[in-house]
Formats: sequence, structure tokens, C-alpha cells
Amino acid sequence: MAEPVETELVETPLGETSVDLVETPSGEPNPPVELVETPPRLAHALAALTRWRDRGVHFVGIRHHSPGCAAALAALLDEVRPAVVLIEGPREYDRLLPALADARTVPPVAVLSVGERQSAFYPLADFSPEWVALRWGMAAGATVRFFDASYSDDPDADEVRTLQAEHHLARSELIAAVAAALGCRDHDEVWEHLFEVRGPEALADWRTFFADTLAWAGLARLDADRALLDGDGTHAREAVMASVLQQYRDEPGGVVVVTGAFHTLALIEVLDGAPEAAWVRAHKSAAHQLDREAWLIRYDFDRLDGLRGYGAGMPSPGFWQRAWLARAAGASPRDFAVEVVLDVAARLRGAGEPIGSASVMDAAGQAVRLAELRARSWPGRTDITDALVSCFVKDDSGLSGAIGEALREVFGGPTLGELPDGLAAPPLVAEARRIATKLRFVITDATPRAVSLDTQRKPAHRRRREFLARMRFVGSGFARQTGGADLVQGLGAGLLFEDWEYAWTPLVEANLIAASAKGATLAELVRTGVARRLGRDDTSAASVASLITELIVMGEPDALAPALAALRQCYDDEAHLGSVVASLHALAGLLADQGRLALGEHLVTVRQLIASGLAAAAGLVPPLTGLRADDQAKACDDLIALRSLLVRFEDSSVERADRPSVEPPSVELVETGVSTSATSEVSTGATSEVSTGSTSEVSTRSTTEPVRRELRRLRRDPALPARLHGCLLGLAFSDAELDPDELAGAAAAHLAPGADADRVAGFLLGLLQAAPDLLLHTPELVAALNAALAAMEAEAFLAVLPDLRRAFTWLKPSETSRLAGQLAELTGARASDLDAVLSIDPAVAEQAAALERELTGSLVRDGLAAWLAS
Amino acid sequence: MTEVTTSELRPPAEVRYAAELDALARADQASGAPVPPGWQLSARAVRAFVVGDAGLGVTRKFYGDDPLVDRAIVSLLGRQGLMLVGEPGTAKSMLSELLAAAISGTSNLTIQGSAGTTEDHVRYSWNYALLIAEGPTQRALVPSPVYQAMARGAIARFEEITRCPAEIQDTLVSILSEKQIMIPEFGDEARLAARPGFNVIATANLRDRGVHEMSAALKRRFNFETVRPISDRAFEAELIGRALDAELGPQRPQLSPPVLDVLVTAFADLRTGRTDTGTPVKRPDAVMSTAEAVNVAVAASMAARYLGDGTVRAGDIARQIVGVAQKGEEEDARLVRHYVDNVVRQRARGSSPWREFFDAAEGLWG
Repeated sequence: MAEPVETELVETPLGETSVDLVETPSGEPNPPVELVETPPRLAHALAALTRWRDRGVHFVGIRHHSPGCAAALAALLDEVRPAVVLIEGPREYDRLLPALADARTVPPVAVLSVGERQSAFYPLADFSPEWVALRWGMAAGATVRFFDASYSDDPDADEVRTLQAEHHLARSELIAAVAAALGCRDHDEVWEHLFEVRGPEALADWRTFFADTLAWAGLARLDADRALLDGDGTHAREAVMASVLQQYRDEPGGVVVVTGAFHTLALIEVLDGAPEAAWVRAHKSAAHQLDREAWLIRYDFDRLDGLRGYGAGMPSPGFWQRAWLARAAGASPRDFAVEVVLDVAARLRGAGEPIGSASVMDAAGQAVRLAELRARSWPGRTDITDALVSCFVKDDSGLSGAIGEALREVFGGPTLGELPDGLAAPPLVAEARRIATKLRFVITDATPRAVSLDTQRKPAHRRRREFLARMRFVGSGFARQTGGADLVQGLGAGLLFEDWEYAWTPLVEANLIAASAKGATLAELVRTGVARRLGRDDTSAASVASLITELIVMGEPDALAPALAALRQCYDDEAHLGSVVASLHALAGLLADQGRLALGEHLVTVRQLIASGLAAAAGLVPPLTGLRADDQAKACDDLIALRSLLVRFEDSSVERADRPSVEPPSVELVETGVSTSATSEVSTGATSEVSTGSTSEVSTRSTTEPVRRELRRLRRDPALPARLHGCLLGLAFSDAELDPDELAGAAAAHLAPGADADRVAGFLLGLLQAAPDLLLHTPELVAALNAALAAMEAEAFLAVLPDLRRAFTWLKPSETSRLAGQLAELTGARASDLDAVLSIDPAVAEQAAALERELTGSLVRDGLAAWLAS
Repeated sequence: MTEVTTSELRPPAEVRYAAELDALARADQASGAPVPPGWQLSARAVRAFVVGDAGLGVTRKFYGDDPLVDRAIVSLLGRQGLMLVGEPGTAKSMLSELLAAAISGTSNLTIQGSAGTTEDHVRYSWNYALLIAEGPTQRALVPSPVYQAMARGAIARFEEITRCPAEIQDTLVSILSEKQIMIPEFGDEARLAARPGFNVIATANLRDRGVHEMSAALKRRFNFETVRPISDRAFEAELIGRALDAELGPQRPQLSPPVLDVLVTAFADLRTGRTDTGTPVKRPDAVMSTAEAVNVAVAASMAARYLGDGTVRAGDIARQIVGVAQKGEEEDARLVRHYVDNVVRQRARGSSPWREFFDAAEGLWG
């Protein structure tokens, strides 16, 4: 780009910027930019702007969330006092106008449009021109209309998006060239430099201001690709806006048209019937969907920030909010700079950085002088950021250190706007807010907070946990468990506290609103959620039991019934032992942790279910005998889990054996004393003290016995695969059902000299997985094993070697060492010899072994086998 | 650029760009722009001197970060000194020289910091013959650059401040906060007070070997500005081309764009630790700055002119780059070799300049 022109751009008022441009035909590279004179298209538009103004149609091209535009617009409205105010925004938002005009509505707020698959935000801050326009219009009794196309899902967009995207500006090569010429970093700084930092008089001169915004956005419009605008729906939306505008253009009293400045040029051209508007006119005005769902929600600056996430409009709303307030209060540029620097310094001090008052004054002075050097009447965001970096950063870390974090907090911020109670919010949001407030959760800002809940001892904490879990279950994104006792995950058993984190972000309201379609209350949502989970194809005993746990953790006993019934059904149908065992572990966890739960009348049902589950498990044991090799590893896992489940039940019943009064022999016993009144939370608390620790009075040996019996039978089944047999022997030995001699005897069958190598390996795998330390404590077994391995054919040994290796990995390293010592003793070698590490290339070793085999073979063939004796 | 006939190898900026400074001063007078006390030019004219002003025929001399220049100038307007930090070869010293030349009309009030710098170099020392003959008189006092800058109301430059021991650096602490030097030899309360326009620009390297930490007290008296390497590869190529023109004249051996691209890409890969396609590369300790890239290009051009056929080839570049990377440790050589063996080998398959580069680099290791 030619340098002389760059200076011209700086010094010429924007309305007269000398730019010669042709709109780029789609697909062709941009022609070289020659800045000679105002391009005709822009010149026409600027002339038309004045012409239409004289006819009472005021085009206000804005940037979203620009306090400069808002101030100029306020000046315009006060002077023109139009009868009609048209605002870019989906037409169905008209019905939210009363709520938006309500004095109790305090920005930042947003309108949430809910589509079939997506939702989108339309945020409003104090300093949003749209907000200023609608508030002024409603207060002055003017006709206020949103006049953009109805919301529709954008197949290319993210799941959540904003309706105020300004990517055309960010993409414009012309604006990038202007930025380079002005020494600005990006299009945001160009905007700031040209508009935001104007003095109060310049802002009040709205005629010049909005002519300049038209010229500025015109730059982006001129080098935008028409096909792209067609494809992304820009032209279609402009057609809708133009058709509404046509209705109001001759309204006596005048009309003010507030749109993103990018659209102003197109709207003027449509109104003028200019040939360039053919693209827009080609679009038939889309049918309006005035019944589209749209809700008003609380919003925060963190999400408004264009630099982060999916926001749009000006970045750093926290900064512009301060600028807006300071300018409204008539503060001087220096006062304003001092205020912002003080806010940042306070956060830095909070983070342990020593910032003296002198540094604060230096930084404020630096900001003001930077603005002066850059010919700005007011310090902009970049001036203050630059000043803070200059004065507060004492190394080469730039914005990456604590200062960056402090700036993010000051320029963003989690403070939420306010809405009148019960207004234009779906009942679900109101309910969630009411309960959250009652339970003393902080929902006035979006800061994430951690809570540690003593649910074991404090009923109030239990109620808080139940709410958090419920909000998690309905997918609101409000809460998640971060640690401590976690019943749903089955983690942290024995811990006293539950650790949770929650934050009432705008997304929570958005999610709840989106979920309102599925249920009007939290309870209803839970019920539909349960129905959905139970209706899945892959429902298993384990998944249903996990759902039951979640429901009980949520304190939703009313929703339990279908899940309990489903689990009972699962026990009838379930074909997987592992799933049944997992579900039983979950139920056992519920009983063990009754203290922090509200099981209520369902306690009895849970116990009955455990009995049914154990019966189902017993029924699933015998078929294990026919398992194929691939499934045996999983079956071993299941058997081990089953055995630990049995021990879990029996341990607690052993403890209970001393107290015959509470030893009901079977599930048929109905414990009315517990079940009557446990529904209310208060009585649950009381009940819990009675029933704490009573894992299962019902599940004594009499209920576990059928499973034990089936396991014993299976163990004796001669057709049982070796691996499962090894596993069952190991388990039985651990439970003292076998003594060492019996074990050695049973093992002998598998390990006898000449036994099938696969069988030996499988047996060992199962045995060691079930009871890894068994080998160490049973010398008989070691001897048998050693003999079996020694007697194996070399090829057979090599074939099962990988399995053998895997079997021994169940031992800890120290155990492996002890076992090696025993073996060394057995074979008469020294333990140190076994430890020797030979670093031989496996390929070489393989060759050597092959050679040895060949040699041996040839010696034997030649009748010299005797030579091999040594 | 102004043609200056001089026998100096490298005249200071205020001599080289005398005409530009003159034009800026006249523009200031014409526009009535406010000139800060003690300064030769208005703040905006200083800025224009550094980043260029085509309307006045002022060339751009510092590339890449205009906001940094703004901040540096504004820092010098205030009470704080200006500390330019960053990797070697990022034009810190050049920026300091340009600012001093524009603000004070001289860039020569400079302390060149080293391990041997003493307090006398920062404050003042004595002409001992005169001291013995006349006692402590003004004539016998040998002023340091800082002393002179205070007396004249000018910018003093302190190059490589972190090469000096911390206690010597700290001599500046009271000078910067009180803006005066006490001279007890001249009698009670004798002092030199700084005139308006006095300030200090220091340059420092925070990460190099053999540098000293700065005290917190000294840090507080400076505003820090980090000069970062140029990240735009196309722009870096353009800069190197210009630097070559300046160094060797327009008749320099031809350096074709693909070969220049090889140079810039290799440097950028090794400097940033990742290729433009995102493949991680191990970074050598050796400085892979733009300035060093210019050195490589100059050396390769020399080789082409006197030893080759007058055209710079990628092989010449490779031989020089290997030399740069081997300035440091054995480890660096290994890393560069790894880079050649992997990244360059890959590229050599589809590009003849990279092929030449690869062959030449391979040859160096035998």
C-alpha cells in the first residue's frame, strides 16, 4: 500500500475519506487498492444518508456494544424525537419489549432464542445502542419494533452463538490496511481510534458521527464477497429489514433505523432502488415466525466479551461500562484513567503484587499521555492497557502474567444483570432460582464457587447436595462434583464430605430454558430424564442401578418407582453377570451410605432388589462353564467382583450376628418402622441415625448362600475352563473354603507333568488374578508349578510364555523377588543368578535357540543323546 | 536515507538521518506542535522519526510494533526511565539510539555496560593530574555520559545494563529518583541537578548467560518494554532484503526469493521451535535473530561473490547457518543436525533449494 495515502487517511475526516474501490466480484482476488477518491458507491450512500435524513429517515449504523454509538444515538434521539424506532433484532422480540422496558430490568441481560438444535444470544449492556434506542423509544411512547428476520438455526455455527456477530469487520482486508496505516493492532483498535475516543462534543455531533460509521463499515462492505453474504443469510436478513422499513419510511414524526453499520449501506441502497441492491432485492422476504421462542435472561460481561468465546461486538465490556459511566458523570479523562488503573491495581494487590500509589499515578498519567500522543480525546482501551503494561510489568512477560489475569477480571467480570421476578422467564428458571436462593447458593454473579458439604451429619447440607445433583442431572451445567464422597461414581467411600462446584452462568439459564420444552418443573424434567434413560436400547442392570443411585443422591424418591421396576425387570432378563454384580455394588453402596441419603420407603425395595439381584447372579454362574477363551478374562473379573460383593454383604452380617434382634433371615421381612415416615427430609435425618451402618440386615449368609453354592458347584465342574477354575480356587482359598493341601491337590490336576501347556497357563492366569499372593504362601503350589513348567516341551512353553508372563504381572515387584528366591532354593540355584540381566538381542537369542535345537536334534539322530546328559 | 560523506564506519543516527530530523523540526515549527521541555522534537515527531512519515520523507526505521514505540516515547516523557528488554538481535539498541537522536539530538551519551563497568563510569571520575595540581575543580572532573546528559537535559543510554554487577547498576537508583548527583568533593551540598529533558534508556538482556539480576529498587524506576522478534515470515524476508541492500549495495550477488525463503524459514523454525505447519523442532541455544539472519545472508553473499558464481545458493546459506548454530554448545550442533536430518530432509524431497541446503549441510558433517 502506498505510504502517502496512509497519512491522508489519518488526517481526513472519515466521511470524506478518499477511497477508490470497486466491490469485489466473488471469487476474484481483490484488485490493488488505490486510494484516490471516494468510491462512487460510498459517495452515493453518504449523499443518500443526508437526503433521507431530511425526509425524516435517520439511518444509525452502529457497532454492537459501542458506548460511542450509544452516546451519539442518545443525542440524536433527544434532538429528533422520532415516532418510530426500528432496531436490528429478530421480529419476535417485540413481545419482550414490556419486559425490556421494565425499570427492574438491569443490564447486562440477553434475549435467548431457542431453535430446534441451537440457541442464540442477543446481549444488551447499558452502553449498547440497541438498549439506548429501545429504552428511549418505550419511555417516549414511540413505536419500537425489532425488524430483523426471525431467528433460525445456523447449520454452520457452534451450538451456542450470538446474533450480533461482526465477523465481516474482522475479515475486511481494507480495514486491516487502514489499521496498518494508522499503526493500530487490529480492527477493534481502528474502531476505538476513530470513534470511541472522540470528545463529548464530537460524540454529540451525531450527523458527522453516523456518516463516519457508514463510511467505515462501507469499507468492509465494499470488499466483502457478495456470494458469501448471500450464503450466510446476510442478504436475506437485509431483505426482511428493508421490507419493514418500507412500511414505516413515510411515517410522520420520523423513523430512526438502528442496525449494525455493515447493513446501513445495503438498506439505503434498497430504499433508493440502487442497482447494487439487486442482491438483496432478489430475496423474497422470509415468512416471520412470530411464535419463535425468545426469553429474557441475565447475562454477564465475561460472555459479552468479544475476545472470548462466541461473543460479538466490542471487546472488554467491563472497560466500556466504566467509560460509559465516567463520561455520563462528566469525569475527566485523567479521573477515568485513574479509576481503571486503581481497579486493576486493587486486583494485583489482591494477588500479592506490591503496587504503590506512585505507580498508579504514573500509569494513569502514562495512559493520558499515550492518548494525547495518539491524538485521542479520551484514553481508549489500548491506551490504558499499554500504560499498565509499561508501568506494572517489570520483565518480559507482557500480558501473560498476573496483569493479564487482573485485566481480564476488570474488563470482563462475572456480575449478572437483573430481571424482574416472574417476568418473561419460563417457570423452570424461576423455580431453580428460587430453590437456589433458599438453599443459600450465590446466583447474583457467574463466579464459580466451591462448597464442601457434610451430608453425613447435616440435613441442610444434604438438601443442598440434592439440589446440586438435580441440576446436574437435568443438564443445566450449574454444578459438578469435584471430589469427596461420590456415590454416583462410587468414589471416596468413607470420606465425610462431598466437594462440589457451582456457578450460575448465563448458560445455566439458557440450558434451563432450552430444557423447558421437556418439562415445566425440575421434578418433571427429572421424570422425563428417567424415562429417557430407561428407554435407551443399551439399558442394563448396571446402568439402571447407576440411575437409581443418581436419583437417590438427588433426593427424588418420587421418580424412583419406574427405575426400581426396571431394575427388577433387568434382573429377570440380564444375561451378563458383570452387569448384575455392578448393579449390586451400586445398591450396596446406597445401603452403606444411608446416612447421607433419603432412601425413605424405598429402603425396603432396595433390599428386595438386592435379594433378586443375588438370585439373578446365582443363576448366571453356571453358564460360565461353557465360555469361550476370549470371554474368560472378563468372566474372571466378574467373579472377583462377585466375590467382593459377597464379602461386603457377609462382613456386615457377621457383625450383626451378635444382635439377633435385627437379623432378619430374609427379604420377606418388612421393616415398617423405617419405611413409614422417611419421605420428609427432617425425618430422614432422624432415620439415618437409626439405620447408619446397617448395610444389609437382609443380606445375611442365607441370601448370599445360593451364590456361594453355585460357585462351589462351578468350581467342581470338570468341564470348567482352566482359567476360571484357577480363579475360583484362588477365591475359595482366600475365603478359607479350602486349606493349602486341598488347593495343592486341586492344582495338581492342572499342573501334573505332561499337562496341556495352555491349561497350565490359563490356570495360572486365573489363580494369580484372583489371589496374587497365593503362590508366596503356598510352597506346595510353587513346587507343583515348577515341576509342570520343567516338564513342558520347549515349543509348548514358548507358545504359552506370553500368557505366563502376563499371569505373573499380578504380583508386585517385591513379591516377584520373593517368589524368585523360593524358586532358586527349589532348583538349587542362587537367587543372584536369577537376577542377572543378560542384554542379548532377542533376534540373536532366537537364532541361538534354533541352532541349539538343530544341534540337539542331530546328536539324537546320530545316537549320541547321551552326550546331552549334562 | 540521507547520503552522508564520512570516514566513520558507522556514523550515529543523528548524523545519518540529519536531514530527516531537520525536516521534522521544521514541521513541528510549522504546526506549532508542543515540544516537551528539553526535547528537540515534539512527541509525535519523535514517533514519526522512528516509524516513518512518508509525507515528510522520513523513512521507517523500526518495524513490527508501533504501539511499543508509542509506549517508549510516553515513558520517556514521565519520571520513569525506559528499559528495553528482549532477546538479542531484536533491535533494542537501534531503537534506543533512534529515540535518543530524535529527542536529544545526540545518541552518543552512552555507557556500554560490561563486567568491568565501575561507579565512576556512571557518575564521574577525576583527571588525577589536574586533581593533584588544582584540587577538585570543575576542570579536573571527568563527567560520565549520565553526568553530561543531566547537565544538558538529554537522554543518556545505558547499553547492556545487566552485564554490569548489580551494585553498579544500582548507582542509577538515586540518580533516577532524585534527578541529581551529589559531588561532595566540591564542598557542602554541592550537586549537579538534572535539567528538563534528562532521562535514561537502558537495554538489557534478561536471559543470556552471564547477566546479573536487577534489583527491585532499580526495576521500580524503569518502565519495561519487551522488544519481540518479528513473527511475520514474509515481512522478515523483506527486511533482510533491505538490510542486504544497505550493507552490500544494489550490485550485491543475487539472492532469489526461494533461497531467501529457505533462510527465513530455517531461522524462524529454529527460533520459535516449530515449523509453519506446526511440527515441533528442538530450539538451539544460539541466538537465531533477524540480525543474525542478516549476518548469514551477508556472509553467504560474500561467499557467492568471491568464491562462487555470483549467485547465492541455498547451499551457501546452509554452510553459514551451521556456523551460527555451532557458535554455542556441542548440544546445539546436535539439534541443528537433527533439524536437518528430519525437517530439511523432508522438504528436500519437494523443493530444489531445500535439496541444495540439505546436501550442503550433510556435507559439513561428512
